[in-house]
Amino acid sequence: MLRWIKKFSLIMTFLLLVIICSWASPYFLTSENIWVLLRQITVIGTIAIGMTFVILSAGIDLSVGSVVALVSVVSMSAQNFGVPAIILVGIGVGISVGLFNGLVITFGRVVPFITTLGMMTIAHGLALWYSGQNIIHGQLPQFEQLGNGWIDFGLFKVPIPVVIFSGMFLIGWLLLERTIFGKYVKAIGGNTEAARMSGININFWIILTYVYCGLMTAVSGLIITSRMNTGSPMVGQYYELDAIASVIIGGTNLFGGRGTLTGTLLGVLILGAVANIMNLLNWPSDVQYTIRGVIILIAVTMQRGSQH
Amino acid sequence: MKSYLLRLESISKSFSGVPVLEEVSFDLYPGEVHCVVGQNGAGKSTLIKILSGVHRCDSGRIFMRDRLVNIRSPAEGRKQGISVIYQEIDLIPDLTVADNICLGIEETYGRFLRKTSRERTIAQEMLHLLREEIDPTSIVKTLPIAQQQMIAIAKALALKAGIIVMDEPTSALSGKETETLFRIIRDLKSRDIGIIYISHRLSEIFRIGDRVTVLRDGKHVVTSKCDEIDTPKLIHSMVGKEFKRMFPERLKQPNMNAVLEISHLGIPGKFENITFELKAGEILGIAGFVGSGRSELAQAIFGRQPSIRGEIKVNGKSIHISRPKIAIINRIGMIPENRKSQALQMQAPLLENITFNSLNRLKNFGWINWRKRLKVTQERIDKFSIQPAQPFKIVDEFSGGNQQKIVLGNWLFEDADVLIMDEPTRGIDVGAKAEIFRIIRDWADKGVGIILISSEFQELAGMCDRILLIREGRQIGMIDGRTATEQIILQLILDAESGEQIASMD
Repeated sequence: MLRWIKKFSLIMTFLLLVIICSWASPYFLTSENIWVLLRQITVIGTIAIGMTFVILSAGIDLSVGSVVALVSVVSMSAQNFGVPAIILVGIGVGISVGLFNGLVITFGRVVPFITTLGMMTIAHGLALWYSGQNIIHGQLPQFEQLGNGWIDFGLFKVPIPVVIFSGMFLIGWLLLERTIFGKYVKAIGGNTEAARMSGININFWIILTYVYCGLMTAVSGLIITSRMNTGSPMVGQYYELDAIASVIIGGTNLFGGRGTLTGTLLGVLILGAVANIMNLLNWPSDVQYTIRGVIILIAVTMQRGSQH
Repeated sequence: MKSYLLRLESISKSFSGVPVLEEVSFDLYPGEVHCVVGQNGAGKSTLIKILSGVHRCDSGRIFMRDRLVNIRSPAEGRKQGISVIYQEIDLIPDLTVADNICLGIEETYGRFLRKTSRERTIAQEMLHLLREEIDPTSIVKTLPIAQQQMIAIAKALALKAGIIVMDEPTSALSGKETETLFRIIRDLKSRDIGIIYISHRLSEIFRIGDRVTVLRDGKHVVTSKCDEIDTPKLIHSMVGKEFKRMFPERLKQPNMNAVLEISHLGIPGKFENITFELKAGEILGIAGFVGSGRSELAQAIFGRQPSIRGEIKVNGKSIHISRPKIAIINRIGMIPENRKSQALQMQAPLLENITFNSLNRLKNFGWINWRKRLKVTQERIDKFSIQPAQPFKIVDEFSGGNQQKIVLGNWLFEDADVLIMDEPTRGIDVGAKAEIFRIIRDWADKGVGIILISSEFQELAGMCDRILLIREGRQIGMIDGRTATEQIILQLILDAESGEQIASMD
């Protein structure tokens, strides 16, 4: 019962936000802007799917923003070998970083916060070094399509990133709700010792969690790279904060064990809508940052309040 | 004689050079309940953890039937068919009942995709076996502790293990649920499952056990058939010396001044219309089952429960206790039910914990006087014989009994008029229990009024001057503690089912 009220309260918040936004700008609810909004959220949204798993396991991944930059420059440098090469290299980078994070956290016994804080700097450094601090311009129109193209479903056309994100979300939801991966991630986050006593191989599932988050980060990095058609070592700044904020706004417990992907989706939509309306209203970026911060604090406060 | 199910041969284990188990041997036959007893620190938990794969033994061999096995992780222990019900309930609070019961033994399509409806069916079956009416889809943390304990038992049964280890399974159960558990154990026995049963409640061992093994200081002392040994002998081999008496004598009469008067106290939905007075120097017991409202009553007097009705008078003055601070100002102290989460800073050293309440008196102009603090700590360590006597050792590393002594030590030199103790002896071995009872009696003899809550009615009968009986939130009587016995208390509480009041005997 209480869970339903909580779920509803998030949807109500989102609907209220939509009403306020459409009142503030008549342009907000146009189909053109809605597609812009949805395409905007796919980058953070895809990372937030992986981040939900990480936070559910009582971990955190601060490296995702820098990894987006690393994926961006390394994958783009493979463009001479074609679009599949770009995608494979990008995914390879994301998974490798995730695997490294997972190994250090489990076998190295370094807490996730410190591990991924270190990785955040390492990946940033690698991205700058690899690119020689230059951006790499894309040469392949097909790759550019990935972030900018549309798929025609007959009734309406949908931006390709939105299609990719929807697919990722669906897979993520299945993983979380219908597989032992999702169950074990929640079990480990809820009570690690009890999970270990139940015969669960903690290290294996933790590593898989970070690999999965790395994979989602790579997909996100590929979307933004294709969208700009540029491999840039500077892209992805503060993505980790937006992704974590979306997960927390979505009601996932920051200390693990409890949370849903539908909540995360609403969190992504809420943050996305706020960013979108502030852009539409031409608010200066200082105001935008401040307001987003305030929203995150309110969300976390409300989450704490509902636990008692 | 049937062939054994499990045999441990001279198991030894030490932690950072300190031997915890030395050459311990143990065996278990199919359909047998083999009890393991010993004081805290005797090595029982280490033995279980070696069996379940949490720890690995330094030397010694483990045989299952005739096969030498090597249990390197909990996963392997479970694969070998060893299921453990841990003392600290090992459930995942945010998962559902079914999720928990099937945790680690999920049936899947392929390797990953869960058969969730199958999990619900298994959960239902196991709970049915335990005669528990719990919805398998409810979230575990929303359920009362006693039900959680039953779910933990259901989880152990779901593994369909050949060996089930039960570590203090009844510590959170009421009398009725304990009976159900015993019925289950008899059922498991008839199916040739071997059970290793660990409990501090010796009466349970005689009721359910076939054989009993006593461990002391990591060494095997004796293994005997349960019907060939009695309580004094058992206690004797546990403590290693003749054990005179568990409960100290009541030498003084309680004072006639009431330090605490409770009238018509109630919290909607928890308890109602509780009226009693506590005299200086008196030990007043509160007897009731888990969930009877006894803990809420104690918390209400200490200001831990909002929205109370009725009146509380301290030393004749009516006081509205809305916060613990008000209780403390009015010289009411509380030893809470859960020492780990409510009473101690587990990661702080003994010294900080045992002097926490005394900091005001250990200050010079706002600065803590460390020399004095250390001296006071030493005094309290000596007075309570806390082992090991190391002021800077982290509290988490002490045994349960010693942790509880630290909690008591923290209150000792404070000027409390009323001290509320909720289950001060839970999970503590016999030797430490006797010491704690002596401390409680000393306190009362100094004129402190003590409210004592315990699930073990035998303790209330042994310690209390008067005992308040409550059932399902209602006060059903007050009896004289000097004439009470465990049986009388249990009988009176069970008889109150009809709803009639017991004549007050005081």
